[in-house]
Amino acid sequence: MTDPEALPSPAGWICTVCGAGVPPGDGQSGPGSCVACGADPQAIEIAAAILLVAGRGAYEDLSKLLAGDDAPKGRILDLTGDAALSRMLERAAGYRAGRIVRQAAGDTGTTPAGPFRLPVEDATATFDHLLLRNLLFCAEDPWAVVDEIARRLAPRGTFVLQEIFPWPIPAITAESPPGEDGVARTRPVSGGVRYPLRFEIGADVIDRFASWGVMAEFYRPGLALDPAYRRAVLVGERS
Amino acid sequence: MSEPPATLAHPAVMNRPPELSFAGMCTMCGNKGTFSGVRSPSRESFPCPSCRATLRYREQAGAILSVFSHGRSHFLDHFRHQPECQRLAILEAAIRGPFIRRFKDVPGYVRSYYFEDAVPGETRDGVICQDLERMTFADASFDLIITSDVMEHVFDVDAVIAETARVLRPGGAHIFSVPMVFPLRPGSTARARRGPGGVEHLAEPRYHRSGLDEPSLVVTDFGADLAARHAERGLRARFHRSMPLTAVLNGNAVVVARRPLQ
Repeated sequence: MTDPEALPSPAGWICTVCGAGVPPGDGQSGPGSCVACGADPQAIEIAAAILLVAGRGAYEDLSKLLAGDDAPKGRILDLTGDAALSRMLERAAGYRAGRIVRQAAGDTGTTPAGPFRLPVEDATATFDHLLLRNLLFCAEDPWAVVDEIARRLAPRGTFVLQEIFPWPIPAITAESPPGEDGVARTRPVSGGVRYPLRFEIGADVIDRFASWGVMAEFYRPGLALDPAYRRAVLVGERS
Repeated sequence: MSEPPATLAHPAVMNRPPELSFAGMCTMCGNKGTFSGVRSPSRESFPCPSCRATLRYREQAGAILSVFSHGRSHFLDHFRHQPECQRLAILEAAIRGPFIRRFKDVPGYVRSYYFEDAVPGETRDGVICQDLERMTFADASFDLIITSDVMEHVFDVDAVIAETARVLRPGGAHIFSVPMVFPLRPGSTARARRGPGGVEHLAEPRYHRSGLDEPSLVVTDFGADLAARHAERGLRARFHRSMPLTAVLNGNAVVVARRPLQ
């Protein structure tokens, strides 16, 4: 019997950022990084989610979306910190990138970040598209983060939030228990940085968004193609 | 309307040797295995080795899970037993297909079909006669409406969109498959229309098999304007892709048209 994990990818992975072909990743469990634009698998996944909610699924990659008539014309705030995404999205009018300052696990002598606030001028319905990464699990109050995302979305605005959600996703969001050794757990994000794992995000995050009139869902762009796939991107659109 | 059974391959791909195999998971039954099929038309190919659901049905299952499972189910045979599914009011316009046996135990699941010799609203063998252009259901009756390769056969697409917008609850979704080519054409093309003397053909007639195994005329070849046509009637539509990361299979999509929450 053929080992499903050993089969090749379905005729090649593509980069949803630039459209180039992408070699398989380690263990062939999904795409690797794009040689053409430098997008890593996480950026490729975020781009797939952007294409779904901001591009309405009508385009194969961001370069085509941005060159087409349906290119996002509103205010885009990118807080993913991803260089490949930023290079591509800079083509869109209204694009701006920023960074969220958070306390990395193990830092000492610093004050833990307060409730998440977007690092831009304070106003409701500010953005048409919000691109976010690694926010909820490490937040002191994940509901404050959800509320802030929803509050800042303009009517019909969309958001994309990528992070490592639990598998399977529990019904209720709960504080993450400490590790077996009693030490608070952390989670690697990028560049060797680890953030504290404070919460296991549950399905009730969908209901919290709904209370703001935001239709949110977990999008799993690799689920049908990879038996080992465990990730998800939280996406949503404001009514 | 057209509703080939999930277990029967499309005539265009029958008897053709597989061109491609890949490892994956069936979003219908959860089987993890090898999916083999032909590149074009791939939507009618790559049957699940366990439940035989072809790609387009699995695309629909993936979209249903994305919209309604709150991330808690990864295949439909798991989701259908969950409270999130059991409390849904579901309308499926079909008399056969893979969703029927999966949703038949959901209390709010009803099926419809357009029987030309029945009165709309009349039930026949558990299936309600409905004209999708003029449904008899009350406003905001359903959370989920499923149609599989039906929309390309209706004569007044905009009337059907308006009706689905009317009978969907806030947050509800019409999740449907239609044949499409990618990259998407900008606009839809009418292949036929109703005229004073009957059907007027605007292109060479093309037929699919209906749920009653009769020829069913293809009326429209759809394009990207489907999203705008839904928006004009208050629905947010997108082309949901379950396999956006691959070069061959990313062209498959189903349409998810949601009624906003507010």
